[in-house]
Amino acid sequence: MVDLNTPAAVCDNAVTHAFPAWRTAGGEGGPLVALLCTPDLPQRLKATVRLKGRAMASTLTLVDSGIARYTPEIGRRFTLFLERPAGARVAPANADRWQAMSENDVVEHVVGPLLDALSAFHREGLVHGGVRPDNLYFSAGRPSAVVLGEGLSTPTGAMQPVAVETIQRGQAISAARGEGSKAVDFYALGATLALLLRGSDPMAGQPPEQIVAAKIRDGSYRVLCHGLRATPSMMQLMRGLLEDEPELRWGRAHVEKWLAGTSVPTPNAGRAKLPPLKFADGQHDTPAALAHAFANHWRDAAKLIRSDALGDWLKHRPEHRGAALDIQALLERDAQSRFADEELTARVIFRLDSSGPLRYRGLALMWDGTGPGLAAVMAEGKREKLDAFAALFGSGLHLDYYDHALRGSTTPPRDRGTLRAQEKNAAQQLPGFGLERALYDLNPDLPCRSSLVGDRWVAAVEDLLPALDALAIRQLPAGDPMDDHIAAFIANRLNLTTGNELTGLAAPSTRMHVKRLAMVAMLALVHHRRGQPTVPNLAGWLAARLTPVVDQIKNRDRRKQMQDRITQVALTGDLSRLLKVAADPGLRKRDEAEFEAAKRRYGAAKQRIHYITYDRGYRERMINTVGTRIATGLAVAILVLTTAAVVFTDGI
Amino acid sequence: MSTDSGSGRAVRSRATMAVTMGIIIIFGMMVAFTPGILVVLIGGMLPAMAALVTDRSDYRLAGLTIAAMNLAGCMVYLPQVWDRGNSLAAGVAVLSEPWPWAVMFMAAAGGWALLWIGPLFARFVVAAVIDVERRRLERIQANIVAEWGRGVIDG
Repeated sequence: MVDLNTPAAVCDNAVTHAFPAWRTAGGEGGPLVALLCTPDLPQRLKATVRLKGRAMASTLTLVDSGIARYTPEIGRRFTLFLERPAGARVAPANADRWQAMSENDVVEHVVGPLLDALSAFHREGLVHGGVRPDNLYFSAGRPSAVVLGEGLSTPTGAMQPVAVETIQRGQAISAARGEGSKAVDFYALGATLALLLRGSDPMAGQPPEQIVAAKIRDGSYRVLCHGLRATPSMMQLMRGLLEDEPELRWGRAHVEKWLAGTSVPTPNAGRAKLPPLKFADGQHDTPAALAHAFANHWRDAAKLIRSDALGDWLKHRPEHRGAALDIQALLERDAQSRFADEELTARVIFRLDSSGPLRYRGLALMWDGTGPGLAAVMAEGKREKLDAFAALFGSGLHLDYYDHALRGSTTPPRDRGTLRAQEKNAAQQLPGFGLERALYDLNPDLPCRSSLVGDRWVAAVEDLLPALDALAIRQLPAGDPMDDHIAAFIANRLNLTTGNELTGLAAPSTRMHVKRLAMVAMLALVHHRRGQPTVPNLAGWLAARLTPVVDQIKNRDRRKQMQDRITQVALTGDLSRLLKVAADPGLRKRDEAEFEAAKRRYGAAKQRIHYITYDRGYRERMINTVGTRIATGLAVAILVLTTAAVVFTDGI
Repeated sequence: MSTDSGSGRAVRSRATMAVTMGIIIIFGMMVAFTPGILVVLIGGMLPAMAALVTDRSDYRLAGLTIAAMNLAGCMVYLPQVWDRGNSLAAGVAVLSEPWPWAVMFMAAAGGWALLWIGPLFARFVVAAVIDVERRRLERIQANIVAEWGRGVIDG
């Protein structure tokens, strides 16, 4: 049972709304909190399935999850039911300052429990992705051992502030940070410890790109721990966890040793700096810093890229010569068939910094974060970013980045063929394709985002027809029960790539009958493949939209018969039969042939009328013929009368 | 096609042959049994013969009209020949008078007159016939439009 009248502020955040909840009668355990997830972003469903009902160390237990129906205003929502935290948040949400924790409290109540929590997640092969001060709860009063909140209601790391994210992930759109790795969680742990000790966020109010630039320039440890007063031991822990090289960053074993008081070597990556290179408003001495500057000033980068200065600069250090050669090869390709400036810039950026996100025209996406990133951009609805996404899929840039990002990586690559097919779907400008199709191809668990069924959480295609049917219960809606989102959603779920169902939807308004029939065909396909549910209201809605199709029948009686049949079949709610009646190619062919014959008959009659009315030659010939026949008839009559008179009077 | 027209020509040729044979038989019988009437008809029907020979119209209706009227004029004098014994002399006697010639030839001229008057009447008849035909066609058009809509007109 969920109390929607009192938001549970203790677990609320910007996109996931929390409400107090209780177990049903007979259920064991304490009170719960219901997290109503946003349909705009995908949830971590696989992780949810694995964690449901399992008590994880120092983590709020996920008691249950599923799609629940709420008030008409809220509609249906995917909901996570979590154990309600017993204590308060360690740091309030969206706050710049909070009560600082002492080093002893951090060691005693935070480091150990969080290490247990992360270890439990990592043993399951999962990244938590939500370690931050406002996602920690005291297990009792203050201070007490903390428990970690959830990280399942949004894509991994989507709710993390840039301060607690690594340099690479911090540059990406928050929803597009990808799955991440254990090292990402440990970085977040280090950043969280620093913030808890400080009692404030030293980067509060700064734009994300500035925070990242500072981390690249000075290193995360210096940025987050500058001015922090703590023991050398604590500083060593944070230095280990905030190491920017993931391979050198401390992990579970290091922290355990540190907790046990065993000596652990502090990582020292050292920074191989290049001579300063001036670009935009700063001097840059690492490829990652220059890549970040290029991403922030992408309109001005091409000029420097096409000059020799970039290659010469990179060749100063042997470890960057590979990147220099790669960029040189790219520029040779550019010389043959010139790239657009922004595309060239993007390709150079990930050659300079292949561990960072794909940065293109203001977009920034980790290699496995494209789908959630697109979902976030579509929810935001900014045309400029949507156009950038469309151009991204149309350019092949995404695949090139994918290859660079995973070069030398142990991460199992996705099926490249599938990725190419998805890009092809995204690049087509047809209903059922385009960005909407990419949205569902890249986010297989995302519910349909059509405004028609947006509040009904249609995640499976079999839920679509009942959802549309419900819309027409009281009265028929004015528009079509199909839009670009529904077309793309069906095309994705039924894996449609070509065929009349999709091409017909692109028919121009002058061929509305084709479009409407394609719409019925597509919904009928869902009906046929998904158990043939009875949907009389939707069928009635479709029947009303089939007027242009019926109007294509030329014969008035036949047209009326078809309209009557459509109305009758609609009452049964069988979309497959509705399509059969509305399409009926034999009937259309016969009607067309008979219409042509009728046109010819009408034309012949018209020609004949014109001929007999206006052709003087015809009239004169008729007069002569008829006149001669009249004369002949009279002459014969006179002959007969004369003969009769002679015979009867003279008696021959 | 050529076979059809060939058989058509053969049929027509046989019909002409039959008519010619019929005329010859009738002519022979008239020579034998009614020489007087034959003489009057030969003389009196000269305009009809001229008209039938020169008429090139279908069915030779103009020639037939003149022949019918011409024959009607000749019929007036045939009883006189019959009454005088139907001999060759009786026929010649009738033809030796001016009035029979005048009547028979005027009757033929009456045939020409009918051919002149006929079209004058026909003008009214044809107008009425065309009007009826047009109304019938317009009814057909209206039915087609009622069944198929105005789309049939545009085509």
